[in-house]
Amino acid sequence: MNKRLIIHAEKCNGCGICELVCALSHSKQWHPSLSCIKITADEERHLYFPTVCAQCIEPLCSTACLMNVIQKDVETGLTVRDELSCIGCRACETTCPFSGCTYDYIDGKVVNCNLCQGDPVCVKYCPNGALEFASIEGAAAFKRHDSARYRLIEIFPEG
Amino acid sequence: MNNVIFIDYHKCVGCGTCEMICSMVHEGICSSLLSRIRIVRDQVNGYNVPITCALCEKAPCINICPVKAINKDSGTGAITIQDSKCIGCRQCVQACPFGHMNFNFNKGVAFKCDLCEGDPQCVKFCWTNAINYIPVELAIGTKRFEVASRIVEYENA
Amino acid sequence: MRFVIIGNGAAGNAAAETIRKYDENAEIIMFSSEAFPEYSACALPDYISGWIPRSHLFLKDYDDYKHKQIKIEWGQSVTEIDTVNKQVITEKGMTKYDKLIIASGSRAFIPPINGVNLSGNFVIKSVSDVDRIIEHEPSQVVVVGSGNIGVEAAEALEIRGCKVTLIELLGRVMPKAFDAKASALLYKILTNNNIRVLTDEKVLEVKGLKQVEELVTNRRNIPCDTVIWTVGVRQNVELAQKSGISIGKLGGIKVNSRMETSQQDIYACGDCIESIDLLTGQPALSLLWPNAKRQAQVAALNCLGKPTEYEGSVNIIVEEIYDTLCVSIGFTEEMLSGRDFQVIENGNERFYYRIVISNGLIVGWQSIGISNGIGTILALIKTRTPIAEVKRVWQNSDLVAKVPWYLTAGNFLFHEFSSI
Repeated sequence: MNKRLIIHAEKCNGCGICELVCALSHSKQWHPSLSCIKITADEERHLYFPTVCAQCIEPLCSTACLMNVIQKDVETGLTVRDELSCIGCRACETTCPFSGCTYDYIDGKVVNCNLCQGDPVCVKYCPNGALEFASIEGAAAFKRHDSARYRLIEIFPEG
Repeated sequence: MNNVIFIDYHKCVGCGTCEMICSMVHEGICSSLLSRIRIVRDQVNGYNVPITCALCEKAPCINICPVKAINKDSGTGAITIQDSKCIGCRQCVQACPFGHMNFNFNKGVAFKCDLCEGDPQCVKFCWTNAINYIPVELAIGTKRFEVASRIVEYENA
Repeated sequence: MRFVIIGNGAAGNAAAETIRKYDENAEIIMFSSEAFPEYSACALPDYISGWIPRSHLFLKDYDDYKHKQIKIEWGQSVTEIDTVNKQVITEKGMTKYDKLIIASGSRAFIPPINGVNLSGNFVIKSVSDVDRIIEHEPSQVVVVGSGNIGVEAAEALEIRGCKVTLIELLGRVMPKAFDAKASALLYKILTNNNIRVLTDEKVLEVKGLKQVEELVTNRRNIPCDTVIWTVGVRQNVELAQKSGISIGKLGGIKVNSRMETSQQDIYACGDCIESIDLLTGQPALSLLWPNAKRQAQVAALNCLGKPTEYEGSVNIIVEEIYDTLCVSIGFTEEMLSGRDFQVIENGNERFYYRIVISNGLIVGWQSIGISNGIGTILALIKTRTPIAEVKRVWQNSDLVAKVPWYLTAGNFLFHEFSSI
């Protein structure tokens, strides 16, 4: 599966609906601290950016794991954890630069985004279009098109 | 000051030779998906726009990389990726404002224009001279002249 | 091509797995001095506390080695490396190698004082150690040494129901990981949970007739039935040394950035080596599980003919003590004494962090009770990104939208009372 979560940070207004539906969907708790997607905020400047597991090909969390439970799934290419073996040491949570891991304090284990088996709820519920579920190649192509349109404004002033 | 890639969009006919030569030189096969320079084609309105690295002086891709795999080459000014350091997080793909940064799922690393170590091949093979490798002052000057010419044309019309 | 690996710990297994990942046909032979399949030594305190069952410690079972076509010799110690004929020698015979990876690890250290041979003295390094501790049924325990293993052991034994005293030679708990303020918060957490913590105290001897009955320090006598020594480790370099392989000034096997030792076709990784500190470029000992794995990966890649450089080690300590996350990365203020440094700190009784800065770069982090966003500081440390650069992007609302993780780091660095 080549689709990943694409984040359009400029469109996020910090509503936090993604955090609530994520936590509800996999932990059955209406508690944003259990969410796999997290909003980083600067309230003064009204800046809000969603961050989530980037599904790195060579994950830093995997090297940091003290129980070697983090691997790449051969079929989906996603970063997966053997949750039964996780002892909740939180070394991975400390290592990830994108705040991609979340400590589930109820189970005492660390989890990360698994793209909801191919139909991510956060994308469905984001009211501002800040989250997109698409292929990386597609996302880059879309940006290139936008770029191209900007550069041609002089030639085609109508757009 | 370094040379930059300067593209004259009026001259691009969308032939795709630059994509073929770029992918051939870097990956050994001709495939536009593996080319660093990519042409955005709009068949309806009839425009072709090659997009390549803007060589930002303060490139967001360099900042966003969490392992410093992306750096500015002090010689050519090119922004290059060290494959051995890349962890495949794809954040650079999201950071590039122009959509230039791409990702090779087979190798698990990001890839982009590296100015072919100072001798960009796309420039050599572009038969309409749409792609140029010139000093940045000349690029700015050319653009200025273009705009000025159009103003003069408009005034005289 | 035959790869021989000495050691069945984190480094040995990471090396074997990396080789198998890239070469389906490589012949891999491992020598394990213990008879256990790979286990996580880091999880031993969690077994002591009862948080996990014993079976959970093991990361592989015996069949896993067969499935990955790794031939492993159990309970065999390599006694000699014949570098001329390229073979390793054990009591059972000789095994030739094309490439040899030494991952012999380290052993726990007990100071040579009176009474350490009495029954009731233990270390925490292997599964057998912990089996023995549990069989002993500890009740009044003294843990000597408040490094990360000592503190985890103290917590584990207290949770198990023991009465625990933690003794530290230096002036504060976890002195190499935390400066005074963070250490004081950790001290409170431990003492609030009924662990007696004694700092600035030296153990002189252990007393008892046939088993441990009392521990004597320079200040008092402590009645106890168990002493756990967590005062440090010694690297297992004797085999390498007598085989003519160069040992570094700090006592570990000397390797270059490709994990190559002074002998052709012999590599080393993990606890037994002297690595290079990522920040200073100087030789350093950073004996941690993730470092061992990364070094092993680099060694294996170079063995396979894929030149890879090791970035250098960073000290990262992550502990969850009584549900509070305590993290220390890089250098403390104390380690930088004599040099120019700056500290940014913030927090209260429950959440505290400090960032140690030198020459405009972040060189250290300590936190108690913080969990989100530490990875951003770690990334800035490892990439040696100047704080001025972070600030430049962070100040610009449009630009930071392109580099969102700088906002997280910026929230720690540029809070309203920060002097940066």
